[in-house]
Amino acid sequence: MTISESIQSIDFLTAIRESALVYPIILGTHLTCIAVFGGMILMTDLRLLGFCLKNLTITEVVTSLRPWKRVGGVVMITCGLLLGSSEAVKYAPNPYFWTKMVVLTCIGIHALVFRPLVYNNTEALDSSPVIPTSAKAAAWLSMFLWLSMACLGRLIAYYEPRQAVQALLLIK
Amino acid sequence: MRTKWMGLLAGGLVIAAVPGFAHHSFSAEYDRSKPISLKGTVTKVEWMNPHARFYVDVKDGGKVTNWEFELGSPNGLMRQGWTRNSLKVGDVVEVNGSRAKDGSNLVNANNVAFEDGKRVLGGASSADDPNTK
Amino acid sequence: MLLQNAIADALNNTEWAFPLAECFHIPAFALSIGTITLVDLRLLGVALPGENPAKLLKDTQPYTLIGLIIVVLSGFILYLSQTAIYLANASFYFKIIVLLIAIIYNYTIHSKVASSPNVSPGVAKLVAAISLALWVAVVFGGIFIAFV
Repeated sequence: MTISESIQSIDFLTAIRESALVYPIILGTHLTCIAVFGGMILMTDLRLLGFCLKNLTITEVVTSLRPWKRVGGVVMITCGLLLGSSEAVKYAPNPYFWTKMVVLTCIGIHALVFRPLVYNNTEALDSSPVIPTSAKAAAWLSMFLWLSMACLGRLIAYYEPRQAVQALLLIK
Repeated sequence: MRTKWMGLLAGGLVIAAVPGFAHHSFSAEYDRSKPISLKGTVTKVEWMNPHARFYVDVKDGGKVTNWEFELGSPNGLMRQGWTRNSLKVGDVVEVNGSRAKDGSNLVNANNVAFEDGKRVLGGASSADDPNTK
Repeated sequence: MLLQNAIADALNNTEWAFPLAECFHIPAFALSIGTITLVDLRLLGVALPGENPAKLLKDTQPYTLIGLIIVVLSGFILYLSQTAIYLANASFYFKIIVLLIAIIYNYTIHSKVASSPNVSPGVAKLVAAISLALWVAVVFGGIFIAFV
C-alpha cells in the first residue's frame, strides 16, 4: 500500500469518504468558515490599510478579532485535514492541493514575519501619524494569500488525472 | 522581503494553474447530445465522495478496453435507491450515459442496468435535460 | 427561463468559464457573508465590543453590497451554464429561496435593528442569530447541490 492508501484506509476516514451526509457537512463547515472568518480577516486587512472601521483603533480591531480568528483557523484546518486525508489517494497527485499547501505555508511564514512588526505592534501603528508600509504590506499579502487559498481549494475538484494515466499507459 | 517573494511565487502558481484544469460542470465536461451505451463486466467500484465511480471492461471484437463511469455522491445515489453494494466487481451491466467531450474512456452514467433486468439510476445529474435529444 | 441560450454555449465551450465564475463566487460570499456576520457577532456582543453597531453596519454596508452583487452575478453565470440540472435540484431551490429571504431580511429587520440605538439586547441577539442561521443555510444549500 502506498502512504496515501494507508492514510485513507483508516476506519473513520474511510467512513467519511463513503458517507452520505458527513462528508458534505464537513465541506459545508469548511465553506462556512471561509464566509465568516474570511470576512474577519478581510476587515482586519482593510483596517490595516486604513480603508474602513477608522473609528476603531487598529489595536481594538486586531485584539478583538484575534480569538475568533483562532477558533476559525482551528475549525478550518480540522475540516481540511479530514477532507484531505479521507481522499489522500486522490489528493496525492493533485497539483492544486499541493499549491494550496504551499500557500498555507506562506501564510504561516507571513504570520511569523509580521507578528513582531504589525500584529503584536498595534499600539505603535495607532500612534504613528501614517500607517507604516510594513502594516500595509502585511495586509495586501494577507488578502492575496487568502484569496489564493479560496480559489485553489475550489480548483482541487477539477484535477482529472485520467489523461495523464492514459498517456502513461500508451507509453508503456 | 522573503515573504513578498513567496507571495509572488504562490500567485504565479495560482495563475499558472488556471489554464490547466479540466471541466467540472456537467455540460462542460460531458456531451449530452452524444449518448453512449456500453456493456461489460465491472472491474472496480469506488463508493466515495464527492463522486462515486466504477470501471467496466468492455469487449469490442477481440479487444477489451476499460471504461470509467462517473456517478453522483453517495447521498445522491442513495436517494435514488442505490446502496454501496448495488454494484459489485464481476457484475455484468449495461450503462447508458454521456461521454466525456475530450473523447476519453470516461462516461457520466445516466443509468445502469443489470443482467437480471433490475434498473438503477446513475446520476451525477439526475435530470434529463429536455433540450438535448 | 433561458434554457437554451448562447451564453450557456459560450460557458460550456470555454472550459475555464465555470471554475472562473466559482473563483469570483467564493471570495464574494466571503466578503458579503463575512461582513454581515461581523455585524451579527457585534449584536450578539461577542466581537468588536468597542464599536457601535450602527457605525459598524454603516462601515460594512458598501462591502456587503459589492459582495452580494458579485455573488449574484457569478451565481447567475453558473446557473446559466446548466440551467436544467439546477432546476431539477432540490438543494438549489432551497438555496435560492433562503438567499432571497436572507437578502430581504438583511436590508429590512437586520438593518433596522442594527441601526437602532434603542433595541433591547435580547431582540438584537435574536435578530443576529436568525441572520447567522440564514446565511449558514445558504452556504450549506449551495454545497448540497452537489450532494443530492
